[in-house]
Amino acid sequence: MKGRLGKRLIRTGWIVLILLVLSGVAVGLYYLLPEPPEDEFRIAREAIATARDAEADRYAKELFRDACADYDSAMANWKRQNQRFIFRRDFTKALQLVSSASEKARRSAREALDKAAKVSHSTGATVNQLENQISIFEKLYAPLPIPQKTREHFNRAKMLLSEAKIARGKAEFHTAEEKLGQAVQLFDQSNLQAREMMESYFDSYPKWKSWVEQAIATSRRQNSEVIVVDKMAQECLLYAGGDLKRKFKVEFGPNWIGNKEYKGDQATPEGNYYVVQKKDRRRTIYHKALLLNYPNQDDRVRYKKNIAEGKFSAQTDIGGLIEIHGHGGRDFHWTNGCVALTNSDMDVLFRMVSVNTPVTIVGSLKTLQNWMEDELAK
Amino acid sequence: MKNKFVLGFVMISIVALLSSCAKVPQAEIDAANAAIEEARGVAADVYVPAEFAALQDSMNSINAMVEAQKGKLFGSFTAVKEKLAAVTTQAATVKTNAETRKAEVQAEIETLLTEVTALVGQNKELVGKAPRGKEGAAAVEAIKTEIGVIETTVTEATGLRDSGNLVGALDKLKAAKEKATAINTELQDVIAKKAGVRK
Repeated sequence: MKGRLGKRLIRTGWIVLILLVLSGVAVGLYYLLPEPPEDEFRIAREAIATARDAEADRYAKELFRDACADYDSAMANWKRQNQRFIFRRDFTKALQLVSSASEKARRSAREALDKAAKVSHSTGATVNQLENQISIFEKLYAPLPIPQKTREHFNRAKMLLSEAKIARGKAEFHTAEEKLGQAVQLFDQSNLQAREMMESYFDSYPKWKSWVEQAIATSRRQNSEVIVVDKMAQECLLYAGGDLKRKFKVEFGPNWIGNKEYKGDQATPEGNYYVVQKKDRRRTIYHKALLLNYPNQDDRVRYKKNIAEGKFSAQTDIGGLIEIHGHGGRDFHWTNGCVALTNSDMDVLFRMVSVNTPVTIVGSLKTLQNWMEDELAK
Repeated sequence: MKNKFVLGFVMISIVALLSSCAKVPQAEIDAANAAIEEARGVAADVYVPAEFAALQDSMNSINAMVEAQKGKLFGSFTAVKEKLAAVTTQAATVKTNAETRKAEVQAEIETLLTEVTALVGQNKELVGKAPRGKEGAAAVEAIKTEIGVIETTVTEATGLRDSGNLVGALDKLKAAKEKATAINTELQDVIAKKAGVRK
């Protein structure tokens, strides 16, 4: 009986001992198990979220993409390790990848913040610069009969500028940058076209200057009246004895920049003319009128040259009946190529000139540079 | 014999303990992922980007939790399941919010389209009544071209709207309305001044 109890006790003792040893081994192994890289993954996720908030996906695209790719690879590696036997798991590679993800995410956040600040600053500067350029364009070229395409580009640029400002207001600097790029391109195109048009027009300035100097010299020499019409200034100047006596505001045809080429082009001719007929109220519907000898010899030569070069057909009429007349003061260019004064100014001019009075019509009495400076100073 | 039986039982228990981990809640994970995809499907990343990003962050965090639990001797997915349920609910809310915001943007677009079209029509009428101003025909031409550009912008915005880019369409229309309103004010002021002079 005693012996059986003793045996049982020994057996139980063995079992307890085995269990204790096994438990000890299990606990020991548990602590020896490789630690899953949870914290490192959390840190990486936080770094990626911070980078994304800093718009790294936009401003540090590649680095941010690499950070995400490293995180995904680390995650895949972790999964793979979890599929292995518990004691054979090795998280070294996953740790390397996730640390790389954290580091890249942090760098991409810094880069993004830096880039965003730069883009914010640069777009702000571009907005100011473009607004300034647009204001100059509006003063110089917008009032002129510039080509439709040029005006369209200019207005598109203005619209894109508005869109860019809306994007900036929403802190979408990337979109603002894109819109501003398009706006600047369109503005530059329109500005260049307008500038080239004016430069080409002012190529005739030396000729205009010479005509006017000769006209005034003639007026002085012959102690007679001459009329000088300055298109850019929109003025009609009356000289007598070489001195400026009167200045009148005038209006032209809608396409007043450039020379008259043919009938119906709504352009006002440029050149040296003279009054061939004085028309009082009974002979004109425009209050009073001074009929000029358009087309003169130069006009005819140019007209023939244009036909020879195929600019327009031989059937095109050169036009005529260019006058200085009344009914002006409408504040816009409305004639078919004539020069219009207010009726009261026309009365004065009509009284002071006679048939054969020279009339010199020029683009400008100023150089392009001076004209631009004066317009901007207004 | 009895000894062997006890030892066998102990070994099986240990093996069972070592390999017994709780089961990964794959059905819940799939449901959460599907809910997130549904939210993405209604362009939640466009209309409620912050909410959608938070949703993705939560899901990434859960994926890491799953792996962490899988790696443990005595892993438990209870907390994971709770979080998955929360994400699935959150995804549904984000989807609803995105749809609401999208509907708001759509409504805003339609309102702006009506307003801008009306302003363009009004501006065209006013151009005819306006005095030409000292810049004359060029000024009128400038305004006409500006109106033309507004019309082009409206067409572009409609195209963007039809292709699903509502945010882009909205921004274009806002800019168009700003310009159309400016022209309208300018024209009305000029006409009012002219009328004042006539009196």
